[in-house]
Amino acid sequence: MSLPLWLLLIPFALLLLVWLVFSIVAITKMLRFGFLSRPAVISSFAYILFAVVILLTTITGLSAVDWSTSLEIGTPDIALPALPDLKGVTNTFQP
Amino acid sequence: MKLKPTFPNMLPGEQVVLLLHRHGFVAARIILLYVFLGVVPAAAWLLLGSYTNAIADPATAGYAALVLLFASYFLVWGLLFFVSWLNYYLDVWIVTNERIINIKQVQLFHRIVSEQKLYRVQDVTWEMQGVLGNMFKFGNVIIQTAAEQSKFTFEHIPDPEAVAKTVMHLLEQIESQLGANTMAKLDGDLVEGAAQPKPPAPKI
Repeated sequence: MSLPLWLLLIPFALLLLVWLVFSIVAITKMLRFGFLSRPAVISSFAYILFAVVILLTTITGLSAVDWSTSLEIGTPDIALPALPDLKGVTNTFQP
Repeated sequence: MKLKPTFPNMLPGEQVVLLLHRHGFVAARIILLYVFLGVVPAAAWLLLGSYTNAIADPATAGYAALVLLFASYFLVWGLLFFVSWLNYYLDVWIVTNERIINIKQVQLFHRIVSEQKLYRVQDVTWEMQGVLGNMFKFGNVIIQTAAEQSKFTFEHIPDPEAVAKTVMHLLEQIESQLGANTMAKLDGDLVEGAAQPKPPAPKI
């Protein structure tokens, strides 16, 4: 069974959406209730910077991927090596 | 202990005496945990690159799956780290010359703010527990008040002894300003008020 590779992007996009909502809430709370103090502003800025770096790295990493290919799922097609003929033993693995 | 000149919703003439967060040791524990949780997958990525061909060819499906997996992990890791820091940093206790304000950020969507007039304070207790508490000088200050929420606990704050002394000193100042008779009357009113049933709600 094979699945189009781009299907992997759907759960990632959903996760990204949830992550974005939580991030906005967290940053808003930090700036609103943190009295706009230096640690609150610096940590919020650092978080935004970290998120941008991770997202840019991901986009760069995924840009080389060929999304038209398929992801193989199921039993792998393994070619067994030919066993040497043994005296008195029938090699059932040979075609 | 940190002094802060202002905070939102201050009363006229009110001055902030103490603005307290948990001790830095608590923050250090959170940071260490998340650094460990961040280093492990980063090391796994490096090992995958060194010993396998899983991330050698960017055109393969396995590479795409791994990149998405690691990106998801680090985005969630960063968010949880930030929320843990937020829960630490937004736990604040403010002592002013008039009130004690207890702000507790339990979770991202759960915040409790309670306050009490300083003259209602009845008893102040401080404690330092355990080896680490004594080594790094952090502990709890428990403030007993004559109110519905009778107990305020400043948890894991630095130098609890000095904080307790400051609160007691403020209380003494209020007592000297108001006079012993007024304080006794206030105490009596509070006790009577606590014993009395609530007045009926006004008819609309």
